[in-house]
Amino acid sequence: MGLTPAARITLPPDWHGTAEELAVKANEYLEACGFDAKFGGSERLVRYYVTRGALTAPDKDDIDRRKAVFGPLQFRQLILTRLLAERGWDIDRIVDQFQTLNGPKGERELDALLNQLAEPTQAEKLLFKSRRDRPDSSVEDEKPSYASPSVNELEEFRSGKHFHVTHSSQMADTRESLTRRILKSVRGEEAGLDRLAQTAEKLLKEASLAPAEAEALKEIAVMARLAFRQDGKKERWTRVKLAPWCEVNIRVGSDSQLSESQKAHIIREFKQLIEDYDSTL
Amino acid sequence: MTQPTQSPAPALSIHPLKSGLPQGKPLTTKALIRLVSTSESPSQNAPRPPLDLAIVIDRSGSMSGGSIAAALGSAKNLIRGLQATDRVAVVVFNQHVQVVQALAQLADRESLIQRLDGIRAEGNTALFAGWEEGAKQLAPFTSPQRTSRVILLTDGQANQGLTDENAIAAKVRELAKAGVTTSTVGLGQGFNETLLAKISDAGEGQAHFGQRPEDLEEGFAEEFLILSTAHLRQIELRVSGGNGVVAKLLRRDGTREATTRLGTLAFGTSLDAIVELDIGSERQASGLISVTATGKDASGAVITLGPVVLSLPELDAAAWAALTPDAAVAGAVAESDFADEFLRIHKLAELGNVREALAALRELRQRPGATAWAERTAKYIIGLADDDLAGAIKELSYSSRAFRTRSKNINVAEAYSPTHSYMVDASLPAHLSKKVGMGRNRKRALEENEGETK
Repeated sequence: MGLTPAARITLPPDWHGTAEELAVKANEYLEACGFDAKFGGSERLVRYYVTRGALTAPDKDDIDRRKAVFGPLQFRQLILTRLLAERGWDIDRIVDQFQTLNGPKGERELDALLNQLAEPTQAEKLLFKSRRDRPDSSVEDEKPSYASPSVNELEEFRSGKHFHVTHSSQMADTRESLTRRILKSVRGEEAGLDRLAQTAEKLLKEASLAPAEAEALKEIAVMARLAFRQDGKKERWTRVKLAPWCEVNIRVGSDSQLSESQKAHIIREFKQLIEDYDSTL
Repeated sequence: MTQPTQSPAPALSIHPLKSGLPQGKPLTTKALIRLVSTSESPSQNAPRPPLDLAIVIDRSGSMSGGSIAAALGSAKNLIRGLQATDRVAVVVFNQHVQVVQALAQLADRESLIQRLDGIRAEGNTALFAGWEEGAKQLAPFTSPQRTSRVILLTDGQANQGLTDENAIAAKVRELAKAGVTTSTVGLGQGFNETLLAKISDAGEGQAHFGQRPEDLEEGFAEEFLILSTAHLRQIELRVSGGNGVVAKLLRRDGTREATTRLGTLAFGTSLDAIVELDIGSERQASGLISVTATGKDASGAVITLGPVVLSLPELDAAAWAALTPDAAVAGAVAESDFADEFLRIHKLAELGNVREALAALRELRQRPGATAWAERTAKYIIGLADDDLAGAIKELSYSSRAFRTRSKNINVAEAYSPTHSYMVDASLPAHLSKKVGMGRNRKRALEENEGETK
């Protein structure tokens, strides 16, 4: 399946939103193109793609610095990534191919690419196995992997394995040693990604870096900072939009272990809050 | 120069060996099929259609020393020779495949060239996986307006992953039909010419070999020239026999089929093929065979030429006997037969029967009907075998690849005459000069032949 000619990018040029809103927007677009609802991504997938470099790191909200703001560039990147992932492109290939497309020029180039790559060529079909072509793709496989990164992908990410990405300048010895240094800094530790950010920032100060190396390090630093707070304490914020007038912000951290009775209490309170809500101004 | 809006389509013609049939009797014969581009390039200075090139470099242990240096040197020359609108990808492989550069239009080519310097040879050869990644770089972006080509630089000693030569060639053929063509460059002394010839034949590309980057310059120049001046590309020739006639085209690998692929027809050149005819006694003389050719023009539009039908008069026994075979067609058939012989002798040599192979070559050289090219090639290979037996065996394989592009100005009669020596004319563009020798030996072959023609 591809993008139909009618399904043009209709996003307002000044559109901005959170990871979750971006995922919703992309799903709406892809559904309009005839893709199954499960094809689209989730807020979790958006964050995962950011860490992998398929999506440009979001800006910070001017008021709430904890809030990440995505825009039209990431919207296009997400559509392209979902489309190609469905056609059997692995994430490394997508990143390698499109990582240089940034800024307003990047948006135009991505639009051109979305047109060009809307349907796979005959040659692509011969070499890439799309998800639905894979004989062993069971329903079980498909369910979670469409909406979120697979457990394996996350495990790889946690262990730092995904840095094996065959980045162009990894060929040179300097890059190999750089990769080893980065991997060493994150190996086998819970707080590894915090250390990774520090290592990347430290390495960025070295004068002998090639431009591609510097760019990769910047991405790593941003990604690591995004995933973990600087003090090393893990926590994640998720905003769930229940209605145009109702949002719930949930913080999941190392102190977030809730008992069943605590959960029941929160739900009761929340229910009461909604019932008492006065929508009149 | 005024640019014509549309060039005249190439002309397709059939030339029989004899211009008649022996009445009521079966006949086994051959005919020449020619495809001629009668027009010059729309503009000599016009840029060629943009090219998507995937350079795939074997960095396995067997490439260490001169071969990897030649591969990297050649890759750098290729990158430097690209136009601004071209896109390039670079893939290196041993048992692992690495993408040095994903397909991109490069503003800064020197930085890519510098990155190639760190590559060293080690490990095994996952040749198919390397080629496949090159093809994957191009496949999603194929379009009628662009040419997509993989250039595989290797010694062809595949020992990991898919290694079956026919299975590899089948995949390469499939991709060529879908728009990703493949050329091969055999490097070093011990490369597997059989596999590389199969890949380039299946891939509708060119086959080159050499030991140093400069050995390959001419081959690449030829390749770019053909791509630059393509009138029709991805040409497929199809023949079908009429009632009582079985017709098969001779392919470059020695097999016979109803179809064959001829690659690219450059402006102002011709391409030839031989068809083998088995004509039964009950036939329809007005429709013996029908030939069609299809290919893509510069805009990517599919052009169909033909069908051209061969009809011949039925002659009584005396009139038939009095007919003399067309000398030009006989020459072309002889050249094709010689090419088949080179292929057979190459197989002998490859199996270790070198003495037998050399004896067969000597015998071949003396055989009547040898065209200038066949005679000189046999002589040259026999001479080369004294100094460089491995090189001579490889030349045999490449010499079997008959019927290269020729200038349209050389008509059938001239092209296959025993005295015609255009193949050693250094003043002709690379793609119009039929090779007697390739690789490092190409210069030597030229010198030998020049000495002889003085």
